[in-house]
Amino acid sequence: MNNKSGQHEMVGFVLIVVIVVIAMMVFLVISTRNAPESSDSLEVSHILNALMEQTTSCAIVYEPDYDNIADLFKSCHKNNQCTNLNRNSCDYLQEVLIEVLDKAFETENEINSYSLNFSEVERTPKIEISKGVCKGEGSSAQQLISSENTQLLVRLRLCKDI
Amino acid sequence: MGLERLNKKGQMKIQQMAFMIVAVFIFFILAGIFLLRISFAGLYEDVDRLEREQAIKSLEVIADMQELNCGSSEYFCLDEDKLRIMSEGFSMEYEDFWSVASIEVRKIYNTTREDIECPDINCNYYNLYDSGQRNKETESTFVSICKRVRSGDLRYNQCEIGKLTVGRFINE
Repeated sequence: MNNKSGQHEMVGFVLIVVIVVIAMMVFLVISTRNAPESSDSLEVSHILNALMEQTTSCAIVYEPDYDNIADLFKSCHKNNQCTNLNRNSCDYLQEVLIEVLDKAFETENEINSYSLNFSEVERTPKIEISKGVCKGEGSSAQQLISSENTQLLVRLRLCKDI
Repeated sequence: MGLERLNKKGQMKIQQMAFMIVAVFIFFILAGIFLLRISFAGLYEDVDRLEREQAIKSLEVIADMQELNCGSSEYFCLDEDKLRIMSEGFSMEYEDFWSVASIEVRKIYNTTREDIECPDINCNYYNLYDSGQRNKETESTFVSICKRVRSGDLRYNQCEIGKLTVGRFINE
């Protein structure tokens, strides 16, 4: 009789422990699951806008019809050449992007890393640039550029120390 | 004797149960604190992000002013010619109009890291307005700084990435 009630108690205790462990695991999974990144950050979106307007030294047709970075993304998509520099527009674009972004974040001590992707919508990236290891809070913004019948997507992601 | 033993056994059982209840209770409290910490951490991040975005939106008012911006359709674009005029002391005429402590604009690409105040050769820094207030908090955002450039018979827009910094009064 005594044995039976002891067994009952043990079964009850084990049940409670199992239920509590399952509940904890569910909470842990929910809390550690990466929350979907919030919609476009206003801060990053301003950086991206200013970046797109930056005039470069690349003229596709004639000087001084210089491309800004938004135009250079289109030229890169069409595989155009910077005739005045005698260089491929994609190579030049990549170089300029690194220079401008490095300069822009030089004064922003709290930004520990950035990454920029350029691709056709739902295609593999044509240009990928990244610097640093993302620690802390991430925020991003994207911009669509229309080039003839194609939509090009430029996405910038920054990571800030918390 | 038998009754006493039964009583003791019952007391032990009650004690066991009480300990168990206390343990389970403490466990749930700890789990609750853990969950609250996780959810509040997200909340604090959201508050911080919203405060930053609100500060940036307040910069939009300055950047959109006719006295500074490139044109009605341009977003966060400052006209360098207007910046030059305003930085030459003209902005002090607006002293009663600005509701901020200071307004500065810096170019950040193709320039030195040190500030060279305009007007000067290779200058990169426009001090548009300074109320002289030391007790201030600054907010900044990235902008385009554009100007019309002449090359032979042709004219074109040349834009550079820059930073608009606005100082806000802090009430003591």
